[in-house]
Amino acid sequence: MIDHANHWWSAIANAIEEGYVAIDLHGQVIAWNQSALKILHISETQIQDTAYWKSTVIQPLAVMLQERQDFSGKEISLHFERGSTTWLRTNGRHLITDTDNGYILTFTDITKWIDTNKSERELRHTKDKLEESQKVFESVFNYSPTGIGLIGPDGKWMDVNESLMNTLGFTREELKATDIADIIHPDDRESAVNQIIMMLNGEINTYRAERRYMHKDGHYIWVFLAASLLWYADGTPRFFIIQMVDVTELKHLNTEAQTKNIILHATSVDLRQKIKQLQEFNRIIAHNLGGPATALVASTDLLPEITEENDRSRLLQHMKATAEAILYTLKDLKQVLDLKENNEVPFTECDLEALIQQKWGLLNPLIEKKKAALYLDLQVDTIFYGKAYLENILFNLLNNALIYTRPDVPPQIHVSCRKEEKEIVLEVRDNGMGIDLDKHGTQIFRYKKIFHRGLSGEGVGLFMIRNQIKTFGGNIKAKSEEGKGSSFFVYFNNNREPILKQDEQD
Amino acid sequence: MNKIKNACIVDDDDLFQFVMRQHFERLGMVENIHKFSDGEQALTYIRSNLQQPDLLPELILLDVNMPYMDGWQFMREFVKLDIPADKKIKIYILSSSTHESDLQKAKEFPVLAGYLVKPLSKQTIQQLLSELLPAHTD
Repeated sequence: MIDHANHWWSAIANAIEEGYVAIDLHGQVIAWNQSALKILHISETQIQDTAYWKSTVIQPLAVMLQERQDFSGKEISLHFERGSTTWLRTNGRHLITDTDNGYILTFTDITKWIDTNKSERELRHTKDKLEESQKVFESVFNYSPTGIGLIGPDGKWMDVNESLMNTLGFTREELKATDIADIIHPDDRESAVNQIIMMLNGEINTYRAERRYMHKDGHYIWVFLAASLLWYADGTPRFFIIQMVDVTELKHLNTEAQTKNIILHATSVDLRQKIKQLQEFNRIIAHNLGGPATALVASTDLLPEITEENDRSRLLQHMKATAEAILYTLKDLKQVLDLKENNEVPFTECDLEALIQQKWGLLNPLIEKKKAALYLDLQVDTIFYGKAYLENILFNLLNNALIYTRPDVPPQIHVSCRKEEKEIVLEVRDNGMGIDLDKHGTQIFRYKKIFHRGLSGEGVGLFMIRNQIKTFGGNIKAKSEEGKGSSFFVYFNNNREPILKQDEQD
Repeated sequence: MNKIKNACIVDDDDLFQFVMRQHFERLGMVENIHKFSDGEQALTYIRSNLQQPDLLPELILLDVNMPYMDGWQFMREFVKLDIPADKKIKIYILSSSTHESDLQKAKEFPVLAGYLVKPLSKQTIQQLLSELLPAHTD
């Protein structure tokens, strides 16, 4: 039996996958198999070499051989010089024969198994974490007051939460069938597309914007949104996460505040204007009413002293003229005040050329006498204005242009009308004597300011039309060069947000 | 009794001119009363007589509010004039009201002798003229 066994012995030993090393009582290696050499990466010579068993690498096993304990299933690791680690499951047994007492250590390479186990544990951990963050996301997604949507790189909605459905008024299914670009306001589409492209190119990671989105009802709402892009590991875009809050109400409030601000500003400019007009009235009252009135008082004091009939009658004449002047001034002021009180003069589209020709016709005697010529350049041919006021403006400006001429220079009067940014500008330009605006600039529109000696001007016309123009939110300005001519510019506001642009000087 | 040689009344108000002239004539303290209805006329007169101090006024009553050249414009030109050193010209600004802005402007011209509010009584005029007369030595 034994012979038979011996005959197969080495074949069996080498067929066993588990490696083994056996020693005798003296610690001499007496047996091993091929699996042992393979697991330990050594040769037959090395395994019999006592020097090998003293090397660092094999110490865990060498110690076990010295200790000669009976055990099973002990896991140890060997650290090879190449830097790799091999895990072994080991068993130890005493070998007892009739004559000898030995010891055998068997071992299996379990490195692979240990590694797999480890990555499984890690995987489980990662999975737990993922589940947790998914739960968090789900909770946020489902219960956030912010609208959240996932959008594929193709622009299709993948999923949306309740809030987003509420914000936009669409159901989840309706949205999934919609391309996001179709519900962005056409004016906002370009900037949206640009930002999406920048994200897809990796230029930006997130963006925030205020955009208009179409509500299911068909109206647009303002949303504040934040978008980010999630990527696959291979660097291809996965989906966009877009969060949005309806800020329409805020926008409205903001617009309302802005509107109120504009009105407030307009009102304050208007008030300043009125204060200036009041100051001007005050000046007129002081100089044009107060002055003559005090002169009248002074003359009544003087009257009893004058005995000569001639002087007496001259004084009375002067007094009468002064009293009449007071009445005229009062009439002028009343006219201005009536205008301010009565803003309800009907505004109509006034045919500019017809009005100009009509007023020009009234001035005929002067025109013939001075051989004046009129040139028209009316890019705008109608003005929405009170007809009587426009007539008054045209008449005064044309009249001035015909009065303040240079001797021997036939008057050439150009009337043009054009549209500028927010207003219509009417210009009346002459080649007359002009006014030194450096000297008189701030005064030309004042009451009874006269600049040219010996001419029939009363100093009332410009004052009156300026008051009139300003009452309706327009303005009048002058440019002039002495000895060359003057230009008067009348600014009509054609869209009733007038006072804002008004010149605040003077 | 000494007399003031020249006085100018610069005012566009005919009635005021007339009343002042009457007062001046009645007081008999001024030889020549010059009437100008705006600042420019008065300035032209003074300019053309700079070489003849006897024709220059000792007193100017200057209204604030006048056409062409008002009282302030006159003052701005007047201070540039080369008035003979021994010629004293007293200028009073006249106004029909006490405007704060006018009072401020008056301060810009230290050369002004005063700021008077119309109407001017005969007594006021008399006082102004008396101050101008050389001390009574006779």
